Amino acid sequence: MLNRLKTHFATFLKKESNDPSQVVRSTLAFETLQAMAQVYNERQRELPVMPATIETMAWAYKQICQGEDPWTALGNFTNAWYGYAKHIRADLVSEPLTRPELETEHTHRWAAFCAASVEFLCERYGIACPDWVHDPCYILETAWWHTRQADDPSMRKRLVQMTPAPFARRNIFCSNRLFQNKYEVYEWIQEAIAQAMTNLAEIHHYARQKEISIHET
Amino acid sequence: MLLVAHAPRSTNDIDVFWIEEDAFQRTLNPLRESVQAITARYALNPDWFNYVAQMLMYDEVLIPDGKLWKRFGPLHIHVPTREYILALKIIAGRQKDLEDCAILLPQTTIRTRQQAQQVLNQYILPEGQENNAEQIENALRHLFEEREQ
Repeated sequence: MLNRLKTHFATFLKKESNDPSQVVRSTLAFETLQAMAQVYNERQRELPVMPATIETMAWAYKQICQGEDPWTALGNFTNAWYGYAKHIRADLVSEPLTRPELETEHTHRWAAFCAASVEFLCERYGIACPDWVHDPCYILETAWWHTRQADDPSMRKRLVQMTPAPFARRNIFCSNRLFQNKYEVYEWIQEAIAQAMTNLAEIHHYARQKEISIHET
Repeated sequence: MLLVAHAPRSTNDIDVFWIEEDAFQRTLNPLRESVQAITARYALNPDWFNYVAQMLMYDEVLIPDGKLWKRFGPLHIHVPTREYILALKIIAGRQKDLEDCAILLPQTTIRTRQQAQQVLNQYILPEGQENNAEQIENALRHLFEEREQ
């Protein structure tokens, strides 16, 4: 199998250029898009491979407290939520966060962010929201602005309008693009194809509208 | 990001862009088998190798050749410029992409919103800029002070 692959790769990976900024425009036929979506569909039918550690929100927060980059920890949780553990979503968020003995502004803020994320995701995906997220300790005393322009009043106004409610209620102000992910994109493209769409622009529009309806409203 | 910008975290998947469609059609089955074998061997998330970026952005972005970084037999790995990665992250526009932009930006020569727009014009097609106008506006406002406009 590897030899077959090598032969195929060699046909198009040998091309080299001395100009890294040289650009090409890619194309995509409907048949190729369909084949890509089909690969995903077949993978979905297989039993999910559960890792030794299930990346729950409590686990993600523990990682953050231990120094992990918050977006890596939340990204791993997201892989569980949308991927291998989507059949046990309630279990991914049921366990309350374990607060560190020495709490810092960083760990307090991210605890609030994790609680807001759980409320946001449970609401969007029809999962019963666990009570622990409503603990007042997850409401920040001072606003946390997720922007480099936190001193700019117009930027603050923009974020206040944009921030999803579970975050704003906890005094966290950020983009409304938080949990967009590849898993759903595959599913929506599959849905569009199942509805007999063959025009790629139409398929993209369908996927984009689904994304907006779930994540940005 | 980890390689190009020494970011504190790595991505946990590989987004594949097929330049030659017929090569994809020819390679699909052995590639699928290879990905499955590697997934099982290293207990990876099955989506560690995916085509979502291409499915969504094939008609929105240009693809630079990049600079040859490593060769592993027939596999030649080309690394794009930081500016290109920045442009893709601007149009992706999620909160974590904005955080990545803030890491990347000081490592580029881009200092103003206008310069960032020039990079977008270089790599993102007009349709792509139109489709992602809100993300672009949000990212640029996140990265640059208003008075620079």
